[in-house]
Formats: sequence, structure tokens, C-alpha cells
Amino acid sequence: MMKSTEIFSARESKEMEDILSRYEASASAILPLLHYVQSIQGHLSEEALTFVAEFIGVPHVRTFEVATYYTMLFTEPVGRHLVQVCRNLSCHVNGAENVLEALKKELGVDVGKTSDDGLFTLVEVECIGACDHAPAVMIDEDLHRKVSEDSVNRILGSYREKV
Amino acid sequence: MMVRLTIDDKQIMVDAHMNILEASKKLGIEIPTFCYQARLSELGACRMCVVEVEGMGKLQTACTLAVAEGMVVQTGNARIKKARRMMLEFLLINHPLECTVCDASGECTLQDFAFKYGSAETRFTGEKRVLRDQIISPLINRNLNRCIQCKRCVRVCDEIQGVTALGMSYRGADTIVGPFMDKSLDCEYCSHCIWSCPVGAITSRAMKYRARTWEMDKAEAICPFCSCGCTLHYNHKDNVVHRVTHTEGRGINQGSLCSKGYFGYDVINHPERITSPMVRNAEGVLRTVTWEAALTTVAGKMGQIKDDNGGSSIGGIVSDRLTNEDLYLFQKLMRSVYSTNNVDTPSGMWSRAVLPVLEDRLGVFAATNSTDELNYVDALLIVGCDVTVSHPITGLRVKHAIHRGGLVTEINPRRTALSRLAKRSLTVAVGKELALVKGMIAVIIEEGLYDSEAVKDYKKLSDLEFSVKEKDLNVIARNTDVSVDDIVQTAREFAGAGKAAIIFGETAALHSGGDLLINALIDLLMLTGKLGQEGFGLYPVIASTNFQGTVDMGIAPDRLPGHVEVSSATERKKFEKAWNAKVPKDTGMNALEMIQAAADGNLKALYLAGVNPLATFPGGKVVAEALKTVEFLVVQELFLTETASMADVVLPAGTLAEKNGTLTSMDRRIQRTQKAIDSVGLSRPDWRIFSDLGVMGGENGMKYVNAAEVLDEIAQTVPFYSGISQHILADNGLQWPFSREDAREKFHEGYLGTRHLLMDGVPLDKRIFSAVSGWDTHGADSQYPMTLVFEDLLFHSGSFTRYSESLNKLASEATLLMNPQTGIGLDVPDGSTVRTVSAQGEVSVAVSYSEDLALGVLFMPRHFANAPASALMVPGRNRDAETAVVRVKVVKV
Repeated sequence: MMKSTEIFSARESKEMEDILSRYEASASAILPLLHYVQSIQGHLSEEALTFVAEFIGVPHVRTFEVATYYTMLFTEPVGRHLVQVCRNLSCHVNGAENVLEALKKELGVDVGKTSDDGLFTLVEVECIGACDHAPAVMIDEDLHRKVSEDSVNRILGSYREKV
Repeated sequence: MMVRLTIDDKQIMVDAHMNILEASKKLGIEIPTFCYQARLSELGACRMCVVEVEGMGKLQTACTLAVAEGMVVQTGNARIKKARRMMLEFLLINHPLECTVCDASGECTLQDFAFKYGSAETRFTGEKRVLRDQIISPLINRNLNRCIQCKRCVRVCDEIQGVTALGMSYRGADTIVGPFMDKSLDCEYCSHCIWSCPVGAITSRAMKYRARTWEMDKAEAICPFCSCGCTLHYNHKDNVVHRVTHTEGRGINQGSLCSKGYFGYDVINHPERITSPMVRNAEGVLRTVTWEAALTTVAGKMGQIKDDNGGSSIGGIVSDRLTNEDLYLFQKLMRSVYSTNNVDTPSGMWSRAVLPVLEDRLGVFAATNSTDELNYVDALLIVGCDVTVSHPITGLRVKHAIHRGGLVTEINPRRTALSRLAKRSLTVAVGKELALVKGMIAVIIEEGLYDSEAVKDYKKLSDLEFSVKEKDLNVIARNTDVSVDDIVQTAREFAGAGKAAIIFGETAALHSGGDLLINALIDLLMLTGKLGQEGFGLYPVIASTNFQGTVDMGIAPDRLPGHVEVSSATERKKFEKAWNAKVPKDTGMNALEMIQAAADGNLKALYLAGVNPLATFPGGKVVAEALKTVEFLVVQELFLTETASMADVVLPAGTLAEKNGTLTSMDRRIQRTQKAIDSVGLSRPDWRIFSDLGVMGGENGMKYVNAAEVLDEIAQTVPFYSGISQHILADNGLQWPFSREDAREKFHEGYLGTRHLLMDGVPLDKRIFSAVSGWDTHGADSQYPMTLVFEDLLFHSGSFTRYSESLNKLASEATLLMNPQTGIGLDVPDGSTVRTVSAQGEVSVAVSYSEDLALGVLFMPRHFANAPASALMVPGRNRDAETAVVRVKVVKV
């Protein structure tokens, strides 16, 4: 088994120990640990999934099951910013499809893909709880309300400027 | 607690823990289900088993709902039928209708339920989900389009096999069953996933497109690969075995098999089987001849050698894979016709190392308890073996015990598949196990944890106390590289457990001081009172399929059938009367002595039945010399092995699939095995060849019409087989010793004979501690400082499995396993080739690093041609011989 200090900094290892210690059954720490590792590495590589499985003492396939189940966990590398377009009912009737098309065109990628500059990965998600502001788009942790085809450019631009 | 409920207007009383599905079964009501399997956790995923329960609005899944007092259940009204029909309609949206080419067709649950409960029409017209047919291993196919996501394979892999190689990944309609990262399977190939799949989503590649399920006939046989004694069914068509199946709840294995049992059947119809007898002609070439010619040659030459040099110049070594009938007739032929007690089997080495200790200390010559009792042990010590490899189904019992919370401690020079699951795995160099066991005994005495009632009338308790006191626990811990805490905890757990047992294997028993270790283990059992009850006891485990049969049938130079001594005139007289022939009185030579005598020119004729000494006996050179020098060599075999090709006469024998007979498992269970196909080519069952030779040698008492007649004779001459017949073995077999009357009258009511020995406790005259002195049973040798442990692989158990194409796909050559630190110390990198040298000889083999090994210990499988163990194993008289554990040095090339 790889030691945590071989892959992570001392502070990160400590944080993972802390997460693990919060749970009586170590297997319960699987989701928070996967979140944490993804926050450091951007996605969950094979090494990361193997590490977390061994760290908490569950069979390897368990972390793979969890990582592939949740749309918020990624087993492939993603761009610096994650563009999540809601495709549920409220957003759909309020024009989410047009927003998605505009995003595809602007980023030059299909759903599930990452733009050539590596900045954005475009995904569709189920309801993000912003029906009153439909159509809604989440980029990383930011909620963008009542998005239209026209505002797409401006919104993306604000992230490009951050670079 | 029992509850009364009503199912389909019928009343029934059942145990309160039962679910509705099982309760209905008791009434003969079938409730359809895909995902439920009695041995697995309940899931309620497939929704096929829905029933209506009075007072509950929604339909309920019968598999997850426990029965309750007064419950009223309907299992097949219109509402339920409609729900089931809809479930099937959903499943058939994506399930491809390729039953025409599917291997599961004919025994597919979906096919059956669609026929019985489904509709001929569907309301869905969209495209079916099409996923690529992914091959996930050399032997197992996965077809995800057929998968109905019942999760049986995933659960069986986790809950029964304890491997957890499969999971359910992705989500919703995209969910697929597969290994970690969608890679290929890295698992034990136990076949549980294939067996548990209700459709054709997981199938055997070895079986693909060979035969339709309904075309094959089935014969119930006993697995030929180890001494667990598993029941399996050979499925055959046109005299070819096309697959092996197993039945839930049937036999010792209760519906489980391992990779060898499930995939190894292809040795039976292997194209290289010898199909006719051969005799070496004047030019020295083996030529095909008729049976009559071959048998006449053997009978004539054996007779001549016996007349010229006496019976003691003839020797016979017989395989421990053969049936009791084969074995019995072999020794009868050697003793009564060829007048020799030179009779042995390759596992005779084990018999002589282990049985004298068991007889001396406990008065038994077999494992004391039944293997299925291991399911429920609270504490277990496993010493010097990997039981999941040598006896995979017994290994499942251990996994079951762990699953239940049993505290298992493994003491072995290498971590095993159990290490991850067990309470603790103590990686200890060979020879240091004794110190650990003595440390445990010290703790138990010190803390007063011993069974004071049990040890009351034991002698030498003070000697035992004294023998363990000379070393401090801290010193023991340092010497064995195990923490004091581990020693103390293991001791406390073992002594305090309600049910506790010990398993030991070849590494423990067959190294130089193995007898001391076995004695210490017996002391531990006596001290803690863990003998003579269910869930207690001592299990010596050796892989040889019918090892116990060789012991019981007198395959030993000093024992007659029934394990009685050749030197006893009374016993000899009994057999002389039964056989109407003389039985020689002098103890014969054992297998290694016979080889040496043949090499020296003192043994003139050697009869080898199913034995390949060139590959498996110690002392490669002396074996080759022996086979070359011996005047007359008869080899009875399935294949033209290295040894067979040196023979003067080659007699083609049959596999277990080609004969009727009985085998005795490692827990004394005598079981019937039945013929599936006719003998391949002109081959004949071993017992019949022995019988024919006996008659030609002038003994009419050797004439038998079938194997049942041989068993009848065994039933008369072997006291603890008394009264046995193929008929009374039909249901479950019998564990000796058994009551003749009970066996006859109650065999189909589940009477099994004696489940465990020592029911009246350890015999009074044996209640003595041995108080073993010394601390290291192996010791260092400056010339050969490394310890090489030979152990089977999970996929190969001997030279026999080398002929399985399927198993060869999983592993087909030997590498030398060593700890990376050992490797760095020797300056041999991972993957490099080294010379491994013992006092006997050397082999060149590639190194493979493994963190699982103790320092200074090396591991290698025995039987592969690239590194024949024979070249390294050191011959000698019993304890001097090094066969399982060999001292070697490793030289960088």
C-alpha cells in the first residue's frame, strides 16, 4: 500500500486522517475523502481511487462504484472550471436547451468534453435547486440565474479573466 | 420463535426469521425471483417476488419481508401477475433476444419467467441499449446487454468468496457490473459469478458454443483436485465433458467450487491422453499393442522377477488421486500377487510426518473434526499453510467464520488471501512458529486462562509450564518479529473462545522440526480443552485428493487396509484368510527408499500408477537414475509424462469422470463418485487393470466385475468401512466411524456418521503434555541460508493440472517469490533470473518481488517444467528429506 505521505503533503495527509476519524465506521468516510482528494487533484485517478480504498480498508471496486455513481465526482481529468447546465423540468421549459447550445458553440465542445484551452468542462446535471431562477447554470461553486443565450458569453468571460 | 401465517389461503407455522419467499416454498408455492439466493444478503432489487399482504397498501417483496404472526399473504392474484408482467416488460426493453446463441439458454431464469409470467407483446419500441461484449478475463465472459442487474454476482463475490472483484458502477440505466476501473478481472476464478448469474451475462469462455444446456447429461462425481471432497456434476455429450456444474446446498461444498474444480475438467478429454497400451520393443521404442499383449508382458515379467529375486525386489507407488477401490486393489495386487510390502504413495511423506504424532498424542489418524464446523468457530489458528489455496472450499468456511466475527490468526511465512480478512496475520519465518505457540501457552498459563477442568487429570502440566518459561515474551517477540501484544491477544482469544480449532499444513509439518510444532499445537488444544466437541479440534491439511483413502486402504509399507500394522501376525492372518493368499510379513520400503533401491540396482521392478516422480519426487538425478536402472518399469498414466516415456510398459488409465468408486475426504467422509463418460480411447479404470493383472498372476480372488464388488470386499475387510456400499453412500456419504445399523436405516434422513472424533475426550492414557523443548524448529544452515517453501498455486495443484488448457491460461510457469528487501540484500532485481541452489541441485528461475513474504523466505510452486521442484528437493529418510521446505542459496546470474 502507498503511504499517504508519498502522494500528499503532510497537511493534506493530516486532513485525511481527520476526515477518517470523524466516522465510527471507516467506510463511511468514502464520500468526504473522495471529495477532498478531488479538490486537490481535480479528478479521481486510478491511483487516487486505489489510495482511498486502501486508506479506509475497503475493496478497490468500492471507491470506483461511488466515484462513477455521483455526477459530481470525476474519474477523468476535467477543465479548470466545471460548467453544469441544469436539464430538469423548470430549466428545460425556460430554455435550458438554448443555453446549452450556446455554451457548446462558445466553448467549441460537446457535453462531457473539455475546451481546447483546458479551462472549461461542460456537463449536464439534474436539478440544482434553483427552479425559481430557471434556466440555471452552476460554474464551480457559483450559481448563475436566468441565464440566456446572450449572457453566456459574458459569464464565461468573467472566468477567463480570472486566469 | 415460531409464527403462524396464511399464504394463499393455506396456514403454516414457520420460524420467525424466515422471509415470505422461503415460507411459501415450504408450502410448495413458487414465487419467482431473480435477485434472491438463500446464501446471499437480501436485496429486493428485481421486484419479481412481489406479493400482496393484507393491511399493507403496496405490493411487498417476498424476499425482504419477514413473516409475522397472523399475516395474510396472496402470491399470485391478478394485481401481482400484472406487476410481474410489467417487470418483465421492463427487463426485456434492453435484454437482447439472442437465446439462439446464448450459453444460458435452456436454464435462463429470464427465459423461464418470460415464458411463465410474461407477455408475448411489448409496448416499448425504442432502440435497445447496446454495449460492447467485453471479455473481462481469459476464462470468464461478460455480456452486459444481457445483464438484468440483480447483483447476485457482485454479492456472491463479496459475501461468499470474500474477493469483491466485481462492483456496480455508473448509475441508473447506465449501471454496469464490472471490475475496478473496468479493467480485466483479477480474482480467484472461483466461478461463483458464473454460477449465480440467472441469465447469460456472465458465462464460462471454456464452455462457449460447445454444447446446448439441454443436450448434456449430468453425472454426479467428486472433484479430483483436492481433499475437500466437493460434489460436482460432469455435464457431458457425445462422450465429452463440456462443463462442470454444481448445485446449491449439495455436498460438502454446498454449491461452491473453486477454479480447479470448475475449469480443470478439460484434462479429461485432453487430446494428448494416452489411448492405448504401449510396450517398448526390441529397438527400444514404445509401440502400441493390445491390452492382452501389454498385460501378458507385465504379468510375465513381474512373475519372473518375483521368482528370480523375490517379492522384495518389486515395488509399487500409487497416486493419492485414485479411488479407494483402485488403492485397495493396488496394494492387494502388490501384497498377495507380487508378495511385497513395497507399497507407497507420494503423500506417504506427509503420513509419516503427521500421523505418528496424531496417533501417539490423540489416538487418531485423521482430522479430528468436520470441515463444515469451521463455519462457526469463534477463534482459529492457521499455521504454515494457505488453506484458501490448498483447499479453497475449506478456505470458504474460514471466510464464513470471519464474516460471522470469528477471530482468525494466521501464522505463516507469507501473507495470503486470508490476511486482509483475518483478525491478524503474523508473517513468521519457517521454524519460528514454535516460539510463538509456546509464547501463547506461556500467556495462557500465566493468566490462568487454561481449562482447569480439562487439564485436571493431565500429566506433566508442570513440565509444560517449565518448558515455556525459559524465555521472556519480549525475547520471543523480538525473535519472531511479532509484537508482544499480538501474542497475548491471540492467546487470550483462543483460550477464551467458545469454539476454537487449529489448521496446519505442509509448511508447518514437513520442515525439519515439524513434529515438535505439531506437538506444541496439540499441547495448546489440550491445555485450553479444545478437543472432542463440535467446533474444536485439529485439522492437518494436505491437498492430495484421496490422501485419507491411502491411509485407510493400506497404501504404506508398514500398514494394511484399516491402518493396521503389517508386523501384526493377527492382522496379516485376517487378510490372508480374506484374500486366500500369503501376505508378506516384513515392512516394505517407502517411495523414496524404493527410488534409491532402484538406482542402486536392488529394486528390479517398479510399478507406478498415476505417479510422476521425475516431476514431483525429491532428488531429480537419483530419480532419473532409478528409472533408467530399474529392470522393469510399468507406468499407468493418463498422459505420456516425463516418467511414462521412460517406461517399459505404459498402461492407459482413466480419470475420475470415467469410473465409479469412492473417495474419502480430509474429514473422513466416504463419498461416491460416478462415471460420466465411457473410458477415453482404449483406456481402462485403474481398479480394472489391477484386477486383470491379479487374475493373470494366478489369483482368482482378484477377479471383480465392477467397482461395487471391490467396495463390498472393503466393507468386509476394513473395520471402520464395515457395512458400506454404493447404495448407502448415495445421499451424503458417511464419515467413519459410523454405526452400521444407522447407516443402513437412516442414510437418507441425513445420517452422516461421526462428525468429530474424541467424543469421549482424549483417551485416558494419552492425557499427557509433551512440553516441547527448543524454540526454533528449522535452524540456519550457513551454506544454504535461505528457506524455500514450495506451495501450490490457486490454479494448479500438481502435475495433473498442467494438462488443463484453461488453468494454464491463468498460470503456467513458476517464478521465485521473495521479499524486496531480501532481493536488495542479494542484489537480485525484480524480474532478474537467478540460480536457486539446494544440497540436491539447482534451477534457474525469474525473481518476482512480493511484500507478502517474511525476510529470508522464498516461495515457488512445485510443478512447472521451467523450474522443477524435483531438482531442488532433497531426498532422505522422512525427516531428513526436504520436500516442502528446502534450504537453498540464491546466486545472481
